[in-house]
Amino acid sequence: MHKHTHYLEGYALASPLRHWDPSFKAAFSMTVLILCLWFDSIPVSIWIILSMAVIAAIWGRVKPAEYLQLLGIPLFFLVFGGIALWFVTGETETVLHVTLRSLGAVSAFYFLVLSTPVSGIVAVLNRCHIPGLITGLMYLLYRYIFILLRVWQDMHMAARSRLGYVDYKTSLHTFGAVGGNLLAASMKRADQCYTAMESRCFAGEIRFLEEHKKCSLWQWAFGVVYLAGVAAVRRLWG
Amino acid sequence: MNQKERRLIYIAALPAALLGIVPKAHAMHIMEGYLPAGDCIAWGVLCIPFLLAGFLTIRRRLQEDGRSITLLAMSGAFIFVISSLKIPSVTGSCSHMTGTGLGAILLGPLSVSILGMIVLIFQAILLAHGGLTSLGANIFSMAVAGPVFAWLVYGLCKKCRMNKRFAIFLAAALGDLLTYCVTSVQLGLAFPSQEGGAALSALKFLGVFAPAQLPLAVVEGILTVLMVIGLETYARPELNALGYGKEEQS
Repeated sequence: MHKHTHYLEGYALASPLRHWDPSFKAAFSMTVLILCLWFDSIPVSIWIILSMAVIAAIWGRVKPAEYLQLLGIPLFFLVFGGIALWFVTGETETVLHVTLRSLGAVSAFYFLVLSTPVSGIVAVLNRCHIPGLITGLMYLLYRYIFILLRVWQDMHMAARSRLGYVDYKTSLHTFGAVGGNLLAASMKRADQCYTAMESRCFAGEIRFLEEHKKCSLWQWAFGVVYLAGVAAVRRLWG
Repeated sequence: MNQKERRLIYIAALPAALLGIVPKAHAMHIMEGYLPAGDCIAWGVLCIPFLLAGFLTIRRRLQEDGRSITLLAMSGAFIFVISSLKIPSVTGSCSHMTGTGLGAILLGPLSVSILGMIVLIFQAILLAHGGLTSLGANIFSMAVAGPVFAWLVYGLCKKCRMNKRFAIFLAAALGDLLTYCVTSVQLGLAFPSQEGGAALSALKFLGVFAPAQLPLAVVEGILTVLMVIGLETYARPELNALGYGKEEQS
């Protein structure tokens, strides 16, 4: 799992689309996502899945094999959920329908996630007038995730090299001990972090220098053409 | 390892041994695009009062002590990390904790609603678990219903003067179970069956997920107790800073 955390964010940092205005990307991705849900049709879902894959490959420079791997994460959930759904409803068509709709929605969301680092997404939320308290908390929480993961990795390795996961019983005990210790360590870090922030004049709000990126004409054109394409698929094939 | 811990671990090993395996399961996230548009909005609206209450609680807490912001963020990150770690299991299959019970016991149910929301957003953005359109439904099951229930159970047990560790176990396990029940109801409402309607299909979803979720709830309860034991040993002052165990000292 540690790998995946780095993955999605890593793609965003390396993506050529990173320089697009994050608000535009968020609005575009959300519109496609909502259309996918609203139209709720198999051809539209397939169209969104395929076109988003092509966009990611050509503009996002994500290797097709890697993109498939990324789609594999939700696919695992979808297969599991699909089996459950099939057991309950017994309608193969519903399962196919929902699975494709879900994959379409994930593809639309990936457009945003694979091209926009978390700082960009938080900036968009800021612009949507989400209270500064929440965005500040989000930003700190995001930073701390990686600190904790690193600490956890060290603890995990230390425990493993001392046969802490040798059998099921021991591993449960180790998991609990590492978890408890992790919170203790993280609280100490939190304290140090606050002192560091305070010594840099933190007064309740975290401010960031925001680059104002402008949307070029052809980006708008792309957005309009893409949405028209989705509408056209809906008209032609239902 | 002391006697009590050892006994706990034996109990934990029991359900796993009974089933032979801990089945492949994950925290009960509803995927992006899985729910129809109406359901997404309805669940989102239902969460708003809880989130608002959580927001106000956190704001008051920060006004009293600005230092809480790093504590809260760190606790949120802790919940994220804990819920994304693989729980040890016999076959090496993967299952995760929800961490809701632990959060509710440590921080109280209202602050957890906001932290849970942020954690769920990051799980969607970083790990592709859950999603934005199903965020409302997921917040309701994992960041509202589960923690509130766990907290109620914990409070009730404390009032009955039950053994504290058993109270923590019950709270975490039942909170996890309620999360899974709520998710089943959500799926049932989204995909009602033709003969019996939403109720029947919710029951069916409960049945389908039960073999995976029941042992998982027990394991979650045990791990939560072990973690709290670890915390009480290593991190008393930090625990008190979070507000846990205040009443015992005073």
